Amino acid sequence: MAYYDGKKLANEGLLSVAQLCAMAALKAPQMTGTTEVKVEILTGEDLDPLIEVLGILGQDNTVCYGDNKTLQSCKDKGTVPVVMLIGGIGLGNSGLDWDCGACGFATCKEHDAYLAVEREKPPDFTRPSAFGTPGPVCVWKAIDVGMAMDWAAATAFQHNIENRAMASVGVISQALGYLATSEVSIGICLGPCEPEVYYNRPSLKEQYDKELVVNYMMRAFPTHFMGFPGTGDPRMKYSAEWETDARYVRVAKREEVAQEKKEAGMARVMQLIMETRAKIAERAASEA
Amino acid sequence: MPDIYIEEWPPQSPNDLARQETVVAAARMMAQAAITAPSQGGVQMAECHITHGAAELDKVARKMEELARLRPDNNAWKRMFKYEAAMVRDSDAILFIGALAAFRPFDTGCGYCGGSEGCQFVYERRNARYGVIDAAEPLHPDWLVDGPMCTMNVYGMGWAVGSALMMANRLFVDARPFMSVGMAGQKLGYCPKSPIVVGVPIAGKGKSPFVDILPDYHVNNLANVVESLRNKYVISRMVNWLPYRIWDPLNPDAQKKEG
Repeated sequence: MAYYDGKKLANEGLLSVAQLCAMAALKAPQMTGTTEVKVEILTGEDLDPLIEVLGILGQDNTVCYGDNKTLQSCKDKGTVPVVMLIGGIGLGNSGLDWDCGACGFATCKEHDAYLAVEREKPPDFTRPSAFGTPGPVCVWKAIDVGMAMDWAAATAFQHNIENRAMASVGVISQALGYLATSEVSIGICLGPCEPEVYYNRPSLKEQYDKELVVNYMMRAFPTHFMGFPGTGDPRMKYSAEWETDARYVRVAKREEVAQEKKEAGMARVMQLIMETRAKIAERAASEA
Repeated sequence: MPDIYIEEWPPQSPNDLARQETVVAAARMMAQAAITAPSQGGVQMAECHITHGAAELDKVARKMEELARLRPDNNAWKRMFKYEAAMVRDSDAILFIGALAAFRPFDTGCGYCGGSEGCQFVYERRNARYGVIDAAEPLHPDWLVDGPMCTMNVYGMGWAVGSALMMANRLFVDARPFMSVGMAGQKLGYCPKSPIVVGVPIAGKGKSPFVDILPDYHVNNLANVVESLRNKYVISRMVNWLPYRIWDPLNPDAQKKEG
């Protein structure tokens, strides 16, 4: 009889859960019934460029920073998750002629005219939340993709697989060339088989210094740390010295990562995009 | 009232209570799963007790904060209890699962409790006569948990907790087992037959109250932050004595006249 190490076998089985998730995503109900859902699955070293780009963007983006640390720690432990990419194709032009107005245009025809102009523009990689993602899309078709993603995530959940749907993973994968022609995308990390990976992230232990954590809370909900506001310029209770050494809330220009470092980072991102796209093209050619 | 409107905000509003009702139904299902969980020899190992509603949950949270203060020098302990008390206040219901058979040893001499002494480890230390433990005579009434007890049977209760959590998973409600909640519940008299209790707060909200917790969570939880906003918003409003009927600086028409 064969012998198996449970943890190893469990993590190897993630791909079979990914298969069930893909089945669920493709079976998910739709509002329009005409949305084409695309599913791609990345494993092993295919995650490397994704993790690296998360790290570069993470220099000035907390979400990417945390996702990079988490996935890097999975990699270091030799248990990378299976990444399931889900996207929707042909969402721009709904083809529905419902003229519902949800997109902000009175008719689908007007939306499509705006779409044609927008799609001529080169992809914008400056906003992490829209990392080269083309807009606009039909609102109803976006809901369809949302439902597909949810069915995949719920399937993972029901099989007790630690998972998290991550926009960062979705948009970066898309920039790297996966989910070609998709307009809405998300990446669902499946596994590793542990109690907590993506919530209460153990991988982020000691990854932030205390000052940063406290500062983050003060930026996120300043009112909570505010002194008496009746003065019109309330003091921030930033430490025990808040009364003697006063500090105030101001709307300030963001402290950017040093320009040089940023440019070097983006150059590396572009290089990774080129390399990965070449690899994807090569793979497609060999399969054809 | 034929329509059921469900929205979690504002807390304790009719639309939130409607939501909480569903979570209590889920708690009952979880309790049933705990009862039917596998157990040694088919003997029931767990009893279940459900409590819900803001006032009841607050009582449990206060008890947890009281337990936190029992170890004034242990910051890790204190902070854990206080953080988890905040999570309890943010929950909708608590399912307590108690080890019903903890004082009825399994009598197989497994050694889980004390090793080579077998079941005598427990019998000798507790008020036992003819192999029956007098549960009404606490050994350490001031301890957090009055041990020793049959570890095999407490372990059996773990299966019940597992089944309850699996049911929560299937019902898409958030739930997490806590020692702190269980201890507070046991002291408050939930699961009256059990010397050791696991507390499982349950929530059916947009965000699970049990994960992604900020530091100093007992101070920086949502309820507290909303409370500070309420206070500071009102003071800020009171020192802006604008006569809005005669002067509204942000009215676009007013600016047109000025420009």
